[in-house]
Amino acid sequence: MKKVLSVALALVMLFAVCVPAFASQTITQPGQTPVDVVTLTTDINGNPAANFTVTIPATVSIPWYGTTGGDSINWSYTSQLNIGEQLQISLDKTSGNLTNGTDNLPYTLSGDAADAAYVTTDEVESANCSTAIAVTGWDDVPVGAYTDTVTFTVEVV
Amino acid sequence: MKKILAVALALVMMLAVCVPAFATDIATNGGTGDTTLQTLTTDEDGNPVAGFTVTIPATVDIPWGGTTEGDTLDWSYVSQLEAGKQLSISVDKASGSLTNGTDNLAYTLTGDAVGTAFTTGAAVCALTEKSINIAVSGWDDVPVGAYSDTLTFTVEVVDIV
Repeated sequence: MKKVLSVALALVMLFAVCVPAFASQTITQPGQTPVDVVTLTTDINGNPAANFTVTIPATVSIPWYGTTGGDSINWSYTSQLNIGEQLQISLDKTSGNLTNGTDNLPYTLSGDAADAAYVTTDEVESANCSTAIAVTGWDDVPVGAYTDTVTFTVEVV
Repeated sequence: MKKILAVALALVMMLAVCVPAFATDIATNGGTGDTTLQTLTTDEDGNPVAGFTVTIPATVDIPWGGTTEGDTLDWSYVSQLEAGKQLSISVDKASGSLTNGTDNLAYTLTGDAVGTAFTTGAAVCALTEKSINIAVSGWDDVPVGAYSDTLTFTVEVVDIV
């Protein structure tokens, strides 16, 4: 038993001394030998490094009769994606009704992400965007708080 | 004193960390986020928008003996009130006496807003013209002259029942 244990321990020590062959190259002749330096797409903790953030307002308040210069949803994005990727940002509607539950104020959307899905042009990019809101029928309904929800969808394509 | 200041500063630091939720960040592939569009009840200058106009004449001239077709007090209204509200318009009398200070000419009124308040029935009303009939009697019994009386209109915003 003692002999078996001795041999096993000796083998363990031998394996500990062995250095895996893939960690280095042995150069035995004069000349040039390349070493590849390669980045990973994950960070030091193994998390994917590619990222983006699209920031949209929680609420857009529209004064009655609208704003002289026009009302809009102002949003922005920043991205650092993998090579060949881009962001595609779209809205769930281009028109709708602001409602108080009884009466409606029709509205249309135009501009960024409304006329067509907004697609970034570079993997690394940031910009401020604007989607215009046009409301009609202000004189036809009781004054009050009329609301509707616009949903943004962001995809990496 | 030092302890109070320390606590106060700690509270300030905690509140500074709090970020108001005025924006939504979408940071995942296929992620979605909602923006709520909401109207205000004020215009872009901050002025309340709900309002109405009731237009009444300052003076109604009645020819001696009255007008063949009848004399009237013509008034009108237009409104854009908040949901659930309407105008209530009333006149303070249904009859009275035109007087020159000595003699009187009796008159009666009939029509909308006389006796019973006139309610518009809706928050949004286009310009609507109304008329109160004035019937004067006793033309032959008093000296000819300027006889007058005053009617008072009262306008209120009330709930639609």
